[in-house]
Amino acid sequence: MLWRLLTWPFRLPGRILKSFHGARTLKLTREGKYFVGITIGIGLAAINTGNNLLYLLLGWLLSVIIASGILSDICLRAVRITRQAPRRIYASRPFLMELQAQNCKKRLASYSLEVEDICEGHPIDKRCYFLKIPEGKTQHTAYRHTISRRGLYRFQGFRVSTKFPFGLFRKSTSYNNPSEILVFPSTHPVSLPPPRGQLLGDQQSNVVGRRGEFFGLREYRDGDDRRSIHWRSTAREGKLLVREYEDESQRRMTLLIDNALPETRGEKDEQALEDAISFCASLASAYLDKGYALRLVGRDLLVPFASGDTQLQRVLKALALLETKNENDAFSADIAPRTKSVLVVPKGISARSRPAQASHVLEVPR
Amino acid sequence: MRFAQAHKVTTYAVIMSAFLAVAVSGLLNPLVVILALASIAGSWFWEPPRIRFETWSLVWTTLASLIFVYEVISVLAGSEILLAGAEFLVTLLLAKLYHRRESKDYLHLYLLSFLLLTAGTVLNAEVTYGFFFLCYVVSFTWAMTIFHLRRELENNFLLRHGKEDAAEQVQVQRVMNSKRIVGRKFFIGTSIVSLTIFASALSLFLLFPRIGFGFFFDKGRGGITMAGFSEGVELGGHGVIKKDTTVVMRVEVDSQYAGRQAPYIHWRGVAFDKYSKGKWGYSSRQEPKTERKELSGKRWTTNHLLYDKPWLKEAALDKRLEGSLKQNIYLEPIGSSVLFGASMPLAFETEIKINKTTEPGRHDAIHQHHNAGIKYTVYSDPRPPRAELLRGAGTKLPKGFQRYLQLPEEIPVCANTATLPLGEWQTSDISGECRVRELARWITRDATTQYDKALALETWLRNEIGYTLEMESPGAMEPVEFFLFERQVGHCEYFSSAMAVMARSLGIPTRNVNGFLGGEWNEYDSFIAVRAGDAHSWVEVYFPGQGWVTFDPTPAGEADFLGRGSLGFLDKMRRIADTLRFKWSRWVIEYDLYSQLELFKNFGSSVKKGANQYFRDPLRRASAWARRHKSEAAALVIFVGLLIGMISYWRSRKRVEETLAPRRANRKRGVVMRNYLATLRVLARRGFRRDDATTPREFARGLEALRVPGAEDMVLLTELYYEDEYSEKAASVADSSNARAEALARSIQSALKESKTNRRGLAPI
Repeated sequence: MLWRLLTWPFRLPGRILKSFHGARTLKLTREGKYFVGITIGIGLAAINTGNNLLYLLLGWLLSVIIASGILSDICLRAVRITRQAPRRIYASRPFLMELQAQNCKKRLASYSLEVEDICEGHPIDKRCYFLKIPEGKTQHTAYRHTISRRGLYRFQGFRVSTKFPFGLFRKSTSYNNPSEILVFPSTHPVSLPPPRGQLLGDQQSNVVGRRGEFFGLREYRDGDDRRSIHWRSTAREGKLLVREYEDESQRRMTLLIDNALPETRGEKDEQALEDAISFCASLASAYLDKGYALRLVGRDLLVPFASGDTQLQRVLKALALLETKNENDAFSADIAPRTKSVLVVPKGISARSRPAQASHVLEVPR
Repeated sequence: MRFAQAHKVTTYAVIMSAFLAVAVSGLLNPLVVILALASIAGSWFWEPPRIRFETWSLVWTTLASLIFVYEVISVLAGSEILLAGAEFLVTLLLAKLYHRRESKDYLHLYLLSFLLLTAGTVLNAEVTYGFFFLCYVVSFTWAMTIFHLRRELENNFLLRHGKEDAAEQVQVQRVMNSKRIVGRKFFIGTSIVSLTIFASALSLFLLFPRIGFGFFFDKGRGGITMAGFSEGVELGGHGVIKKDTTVVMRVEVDSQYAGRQAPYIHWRGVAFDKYSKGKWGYSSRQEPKTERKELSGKRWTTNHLLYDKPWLKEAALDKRLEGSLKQNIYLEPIGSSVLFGASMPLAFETEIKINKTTEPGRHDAIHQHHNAGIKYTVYSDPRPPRAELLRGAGTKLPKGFQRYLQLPEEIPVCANTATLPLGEWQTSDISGECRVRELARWITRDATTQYDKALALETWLRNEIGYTLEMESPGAMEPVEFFLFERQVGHCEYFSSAMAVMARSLGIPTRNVNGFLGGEWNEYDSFIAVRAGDAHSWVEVYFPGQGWVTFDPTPAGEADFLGRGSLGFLDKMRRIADTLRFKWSRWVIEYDLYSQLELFKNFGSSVKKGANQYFRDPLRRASAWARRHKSEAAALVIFVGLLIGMISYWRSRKRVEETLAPRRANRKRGVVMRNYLATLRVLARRGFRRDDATTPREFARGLEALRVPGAEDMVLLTELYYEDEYSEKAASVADSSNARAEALARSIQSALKESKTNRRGLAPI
């Protein structure tokens, strides 16, 4: 204690500098404007009349303004805001963004905090309100928000403001907390295109077995059944190779999306592409739900075959970030033999070098 | 306390504080005060669901309009506009109290209460205003804080169903009934804030430069007239004189006249030279000379008003005042412009431009116009000249002093001065028209000098005549004669008049003086409180070459020293209350530029003195010691330096340990850490091993780039791990983080298991 007292003068400049850390903006509320007006009026009356009690009132009014500034600053100080986005966010679909406000002060509670999330340089239209965050405690809240377009959105931080304690001023400060949120294309229920012919051996799935038709060889991975090792090839190649079978529960589907737009494209064309991407995402979701192994192919785009929830995440991510290409850009992969394929093209857009052998070609919007 | 209840209580506290600040002034109609208090009490219960405000709004609007018309008419009829305004404000306040429906109405209530408090600055200048102002400051802080929270609550806890639909308040009622938001801690905290605000207001009050322009008004406060002193003496009334205990003057004196055992001082006010038909007044012939001196610059526009002395040079003035008794006097408004000072005053020092406000000067009284009390300084010489000097004084009077020998026709000159009886006799034995003069001659029969004669008259009156506050009308008889020969009891004005008249009949110049005698010593703030009941009359006798000397023929009362108040509880309380009033008057009501400069000067000198005492002198001594003992001083400096170095090192070590300690503890038992490490092990089995040079975040991003199943979740888990490991407040978020970390770890492991991916089998993208 004694040491702190002795060294206090040396620590003071640092404390003052620290207190200025984080620029504050101050804005008068409507009541604050009246209050300042009254203060000026009382000040003029005091100077004019020399009535000391008016000076006393003036002193009190000014002290209220000073106290208001200090208390609001204390409320804003040492507050940590973090956000927690849901795992998947789809365009045009409301989602709940969870905000967590932590009061890191040791002794003082923070009152009446309004938190605005700043996305792409602008505060979003929803504010979160914390009535009281006790000292050292954390409180959670969430806001509902909808993002209309797919893509990568950058959240820079938060603007935290308070009108505490008297509602005369709104003091705000900004906290940096950059993060990126990927908005997937909007999905909606779709009916899958009917199977075309039996050439892909769909009927084999009537009998559920551990192994389906031989598909190829691949390297051994931890956890593979040792009975699947193809010893002859292993001896030839000098590394463990296993047989890969086409699992009957994982039928394969190649989704192709034509993400090319002509040089002279209009808003309508872009919307058609967005609709196509959204439809493609819906198809992918539907196929993966049905247990298909799915591959996504586009111009300068390839998501290899896989199935399950993780693959859906990958496909949606790829579609969320899908960029418009020129029709001269080729598709990243051909349609694999003996696999089903669906080519999704934006309606009204004719483009060159589309895969010709797709099982289905769907124009969107249909 | 429930949130809503706390808001209601604090709002009423604000309103009551503002209302009482005005009501205790006594200027409002008592009926209005009583009705308003009853209405405020009634409004407490006037709220839903008992009352529907809508049905009563027309009633209140009509009532307020009617009262407004009444107040306008009363102002036109001559009523005080400020009082009418205050009464109308009270009406509006009541109307709002009975109609407090929304948060906007509460805001109006606070505004009206503030306007009422502002009106109180003019209507109530007593210490009670200070008390209610303090109450207002504290309750306003509470009320405004709670009001703000309530309004924010109502605005923010809205559930908007759509653009077209009305919003619905959710949880507001629950919060209003909550006891957790506004508790003991809240009230203590806001009380500290409000007291700090009050202290800050006082500081700012003291710091504001007191530059009054006075464009439209003079001092914005009316004077309050007190009884007890009058600028005239009229003998012959009847009734009982009541002792008024109102303090009219507070005097700070030098130490030799301070304390409970200090003798009484005659606080001289006005002197009269003309006596006629039982009345004392001023003669028409006044000395035209202006006896005042202005010393600008050196003493801040100070004016000296001098008794009986012509103009003095500054140096001569200082010499004259040297060794005199200095008194700082705080005079309340007493309905007179007379200034008082201890007998005999040498000079008055006021702080107001004399040529603007001073009445035409008279050399036997000092007048200074003031309507709201005044602070001034008097320099007096309380010791009369030595008796030998007075006995040796001449008899030749200066020019113009003949008027102090004036006597009216009612005190006729004796035709035969040989009628003086010899031997023992009673006053009643003396008869004839000139028996007052006869009596004077008989009393002073053995005295040879004027001083001895005056002394004999004073002694005789003190010893032979009784004192009473009960007055009796003398009828047609000359009052002094009636007092000396018929009634033989009376109050101070009779005694002084009798002595002045008798002395004049003997050719001794006298004047009758009105002022105050003594006072009560206030031990709490070291001042003499002079009350209205201390009003007194006495006599001044002129001795050529020596000046005027005070004689008091009135018999001494029960006490003639300042400690007349008892040391009992009630008397002590009375003196404490008086101290508060004095402080309030001195430091708030009468605080001006001069007080401000004096305060700053005192503060500056105190700081300087303290600095000298605590720093400069010890440093000087230390330096002298160091010069004498050089080797010891060097050793001491080295020792202190080492000590500081060791303490600094120890503190820095401790800080590092404190920083590391919680992280180490978390590493042992943290759920997040455990899950993160478990996931790392699973990944390692799949061939994704983190080397030492890669940070956890880089590792997670690397997995994401390789599109390893569960990589997105791994990124999140890594962030949790960082937060858990390096955040200062990890403990407070532990519960939610732990659950989330477990879920993420499970998700990653199942994703890996499902895809059966390993490092070698991962297809390049």
